[in-house]
Amino acid sequence: MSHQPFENWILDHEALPLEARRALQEHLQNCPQCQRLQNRWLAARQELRMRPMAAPAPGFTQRWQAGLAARRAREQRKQAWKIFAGFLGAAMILILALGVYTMVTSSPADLLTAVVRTLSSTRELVNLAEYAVRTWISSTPLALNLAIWIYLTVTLCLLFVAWLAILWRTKSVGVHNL
Amino acid sequence: MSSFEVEWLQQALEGDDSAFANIVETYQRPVYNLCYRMLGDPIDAEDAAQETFWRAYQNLKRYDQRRSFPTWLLSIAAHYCIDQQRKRRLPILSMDILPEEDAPDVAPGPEKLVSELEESSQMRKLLDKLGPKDRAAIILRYWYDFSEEEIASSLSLTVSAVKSRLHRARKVLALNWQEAQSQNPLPERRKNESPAI
Repeated sequence: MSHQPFENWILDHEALPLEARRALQEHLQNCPQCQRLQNRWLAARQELRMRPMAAPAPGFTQRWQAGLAARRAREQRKQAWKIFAGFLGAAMILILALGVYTMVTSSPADLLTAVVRTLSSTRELVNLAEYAVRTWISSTPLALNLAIWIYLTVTLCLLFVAWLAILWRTKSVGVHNL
Repeated sequence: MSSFEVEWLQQALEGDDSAFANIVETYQRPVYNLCYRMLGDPIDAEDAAQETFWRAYQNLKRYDQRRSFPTWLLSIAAHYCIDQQRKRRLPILSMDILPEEDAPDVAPGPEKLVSELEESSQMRKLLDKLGPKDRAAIILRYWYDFSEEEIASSLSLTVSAVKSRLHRARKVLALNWQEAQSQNPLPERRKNESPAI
């Protein structure tokens, strides 16, 4: 005995035209196999429709908000690392480009001469600065010298601390509106 | 959607986090229920529901306002759960931590608790017989009364594919219904036995 299209009709009963419903009812009276399928499907469907909505544990929204804050912090740290890597990459590329440009535009002998010349002029500059400082120290009172040294040391320390603070803030809070 | 929800959505689109928290509060249950029915585990369902809201939050600007917001939200949840299901083909049900399934009963008797656990277990076993997309289609159809068109839109399928998936899933459920029943028969009370036992 053929159970088609009745099997399909049993399972898609919701959208069945009236004629098909009648034919199905007639078939079901004479076919225990299709009747069994229908009983099982109706019972399963009733069970599906009866099951209530499951609810999460209390405090779901608070957990979401906490999760949002944690994810944001993570995203900001990631962003800070990306910016750092971007700057580092750009610096490397610049140095590489300068290196390549120098290699292309100058011969090795010219390059060596330029290096030696730069080193010797740097040495002369250092000597000049040393002489200027010594002259300054010998010609000014000791108290003024001490004050200047303390001022310079404190300023440098403050700048270093500010630099560390900026690094820490960029890492932990991130950079907004980029 | 109520006028409040439309307003919250608008505020959330303008970057108001507390407005989005109101949306989370409103839709937590339908989203969680979908995740729980899909994954079968309360902890995984919680993670999936949280992830769903995070994805919705991230992609809020891409939300097409002509579309129903709950449908869009459930679509995100369904896609996420389908991916999770594919990653782990055999879900494990923790019987100790079944979630609250309805308005909390003040003092549920042990008999009621046992009966609820068994019914949940039966439903779990039944849904486990379905593939991830078929399961999502059945859940959206029978828990959320989605039309075939809405299911198609939510699961990125054609309407005819949804029809065929629903048909196949119904057949599997019908054929496995008796098996699930016989494996977990509800305990019958013996004569003169206390109803609490």
